[in-house]
Amino acid sequence: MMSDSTSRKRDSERRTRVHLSLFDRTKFLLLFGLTYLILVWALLSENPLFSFSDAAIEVANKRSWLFWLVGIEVLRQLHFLISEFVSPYHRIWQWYFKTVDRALHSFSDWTRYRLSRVIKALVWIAILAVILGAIYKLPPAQALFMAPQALWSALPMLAQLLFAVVFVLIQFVAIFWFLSRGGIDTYFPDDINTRFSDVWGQDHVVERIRENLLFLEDPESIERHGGYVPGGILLWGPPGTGKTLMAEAMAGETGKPFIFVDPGAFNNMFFGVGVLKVKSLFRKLRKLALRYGGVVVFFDEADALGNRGIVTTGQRMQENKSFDSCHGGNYLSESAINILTREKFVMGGAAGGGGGGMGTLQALLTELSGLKKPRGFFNRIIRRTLGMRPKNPPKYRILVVMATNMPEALDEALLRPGRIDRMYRVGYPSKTGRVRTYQGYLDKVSHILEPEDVEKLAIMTPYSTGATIKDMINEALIIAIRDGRTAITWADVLRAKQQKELGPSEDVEYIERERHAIAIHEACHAVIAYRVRQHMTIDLATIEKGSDYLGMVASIPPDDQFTRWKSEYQSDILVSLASLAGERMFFDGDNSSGVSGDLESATTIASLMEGHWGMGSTISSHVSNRRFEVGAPGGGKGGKTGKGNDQNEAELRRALSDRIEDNLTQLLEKVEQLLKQNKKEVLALAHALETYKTLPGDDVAAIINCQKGALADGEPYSDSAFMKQIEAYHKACVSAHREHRAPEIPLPVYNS
Amino acid sequence: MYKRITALVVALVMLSACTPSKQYAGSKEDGAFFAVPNGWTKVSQAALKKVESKNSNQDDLDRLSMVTYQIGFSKSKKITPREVFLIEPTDQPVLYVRFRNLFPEERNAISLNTLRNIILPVTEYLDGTRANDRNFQLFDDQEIVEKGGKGVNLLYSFDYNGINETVNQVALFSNDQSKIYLFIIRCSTVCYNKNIDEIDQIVKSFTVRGA
Repeated sequence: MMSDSTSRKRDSERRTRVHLSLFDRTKFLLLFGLTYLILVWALLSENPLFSFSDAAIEVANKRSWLFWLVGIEVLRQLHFLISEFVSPYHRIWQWYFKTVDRALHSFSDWTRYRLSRVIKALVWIAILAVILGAIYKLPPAQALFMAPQALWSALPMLAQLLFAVVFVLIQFVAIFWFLSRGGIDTYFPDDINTRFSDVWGQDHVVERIRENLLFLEDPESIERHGGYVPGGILLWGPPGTGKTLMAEAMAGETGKPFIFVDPGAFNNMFFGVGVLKVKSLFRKLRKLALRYGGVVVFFDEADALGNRGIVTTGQRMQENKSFDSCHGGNYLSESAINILTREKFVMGGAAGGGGGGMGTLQALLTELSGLKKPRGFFNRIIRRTLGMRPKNPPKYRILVVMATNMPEALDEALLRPGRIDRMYRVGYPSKTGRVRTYQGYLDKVSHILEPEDVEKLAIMTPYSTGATIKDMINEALIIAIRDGRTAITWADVLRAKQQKELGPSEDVEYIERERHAIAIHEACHAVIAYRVRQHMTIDLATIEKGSDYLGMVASIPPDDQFTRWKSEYQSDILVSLASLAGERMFFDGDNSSGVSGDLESATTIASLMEGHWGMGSTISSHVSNRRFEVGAPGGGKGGKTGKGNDQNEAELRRALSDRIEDNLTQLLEKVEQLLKQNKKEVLALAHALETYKTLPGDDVAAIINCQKGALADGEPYSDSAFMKQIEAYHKACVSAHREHRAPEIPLPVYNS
Repeated sequence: MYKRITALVVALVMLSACTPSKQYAGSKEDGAFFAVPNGWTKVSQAALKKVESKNSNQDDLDRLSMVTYQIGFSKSKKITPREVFLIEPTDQPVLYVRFRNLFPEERNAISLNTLRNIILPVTEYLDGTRANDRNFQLFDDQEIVEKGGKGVNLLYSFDYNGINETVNQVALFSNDQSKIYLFIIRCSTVCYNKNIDEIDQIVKSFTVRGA
């Protein structure tokens, strides 16, 4: 505990004043002394006749004010000195100051503030008077009246200065004015011919947007019931699904002006230009809203507005990304691909930043839902001067529409109700939507497709968008024209689909033993997929080399499904592991590096099943465990093993990765069993792939079932003699593989 | 330390009670200075201007407007502004100093002889074109060069109303010939000889550095 004697005394506790240091006691005297010497030096340099002593005396005589100041300072220091040694003297002054303070504080703070302002003003006027007196060689009081005259005579100079200032300012104003132009286009009703009827396959979103426009056209219908017109819509979804087309249709449908804001409009070189642009945009919007009773503003690629570094925590809006893997990740279900993509690309990349930056976003946020403040010079200044209250702003009916395919890049504050009231996902079109879109684009070209073909095409292309459909039909037309026809056939569509989905094949001719190995690899995927996976159907299987794959088995969901089940993920893993199990089985325990992508997919799904989805032996979520740093989840094989013996205890503590490995091992064993049971089917399908290179899904099924397909005939594979030839060919390929030479037997050809 | 500071303050305060050893005069704007002994009486610029502007014609007034500085000093306590301008011999030395800007036509015509003839037609007396009816005697005629200009310093005497008067006349024009500096100290020859040391000191102090 600190004793009182060590504490520094408070001012009220002291009986005398604190001793001043030598510097504090003499600093002003030194300053005056220095000033005096400078004045003497100035006089000496001015008049060469002066001796130093005479100059010193002359300055002392002429600048007597300096000695008055010295005298005052000496008196002040004497006063301090006495206060430092004589306590009654100090007390008297303390009492005096307290009295003065008390007297001063009898005024209100406001009065004291005003008084201090008046006193300060008077002091400055006095100083001005003294200075003017010195300049005009007149008494200060008289000189003060010369000030207006001085000001008048100085006016030309002031005007020049003002002109210079304005000249400099006007350059900046002009630069900023020019920089804040552009990027914003205004369309008036009937400028655009696109209508909602031109937007195909997104009827549910179009309906909602139509509703918003109706509210904008007739705001009273909702406002008289106490509601308000929704002010903001966000259209989000994958690229090419028609968001911008919808905006165009809105511009065409609405009877209000439509403002299109370019994605790059707020990118700028100078600080403040973005803010100026936002402000000028909204000034324009308010003007148009008042004049036309409403206005629609559309921000295309709204993610360009950026965010302030906060990751959105709300609804997950990540869309499906294409996923290419060696030997085809395409056999996986769409949601499994989605997960893999998220793990790979999205988890680390949701950081903020970008966009217009430098206050632009904040300015936009404020304009969208800022203070409802009175605006205008007359309203704010003149009315207030006349004692009237400024008018509140009228209701500006501005409908803000934003479109983005990266909703997570938007700032959280932008998406709150009041700014963006409604968020519509413009997703992949439904089957009906796809049929409608196909029909729309097919109507523009010549074709010989039947309605059932179009229906089938829509089923075959589950994740296609308006843009991809348009592109595919165009590609089919190009293929037809290249073949010397003008009408699109079913085969053209299939070739176009294959080319668009898989990219052009590289026309690489594999050596025989490698072709056989790839065919076996893909056949294993396809046979297992056919046998165990009911939630997906095979779209095609190929061993033609593409830009980033050697072969591929692509699958599509037969119908729209929104939940995924443990059995489905297990079957996904089985399909993934089929390549490894198959290569080992058919090549005497050997396997290629081509299974790496499959193993990565299988491990990722298995990890998520074990740690995230409650599809493994534990219940706790690995995400939460990691967040709270509580270590790997325990539980071993769930409730099946009790605690008590050391072995089980050790099992309980097994690391997550061990359990994932165990699960994968079990599934690998299972797939090995399945492949043994389907050895003949794998060889048959591999032969068909080597023969035809690419097989549609229906033909894959036909080969496995030994039936006749559209392109390939599976019936020969029911012929045991032919199958023996295929097995002999396989053995020859395995020997060739082992000895690195060409197989002795060529690929068997069926001769009926 | 406190004692030293106290002594310094006291010394400074005492300085204000002292007077310089001489009276320093001159004009910073014109760049010309001189000093006269303490005790000489000063005749101010305003007083001189008042006398000069009285009963003056327009030409005189125009010339007066070109005067930038003028002052008078006398050892006599009873000197009047009017006496400063008169040429009558006095029994105490009288100093008259005047700096004036020149008219353009004067600038072109100015010469050292012009400076010599400011009070009396000295050159005419010397070359005999004017009869020496005043017992004019030139004792000294020196050309002088100062930093701010050049000119002449004459010492001469002449009779006025039967009394011989001695004049020490310094006159310079500025280097750009835009300004004339006139410095005249005079009194009866008896007085002059009596105060010759003092007068020489005063003349010697006259310095022209230029504007």
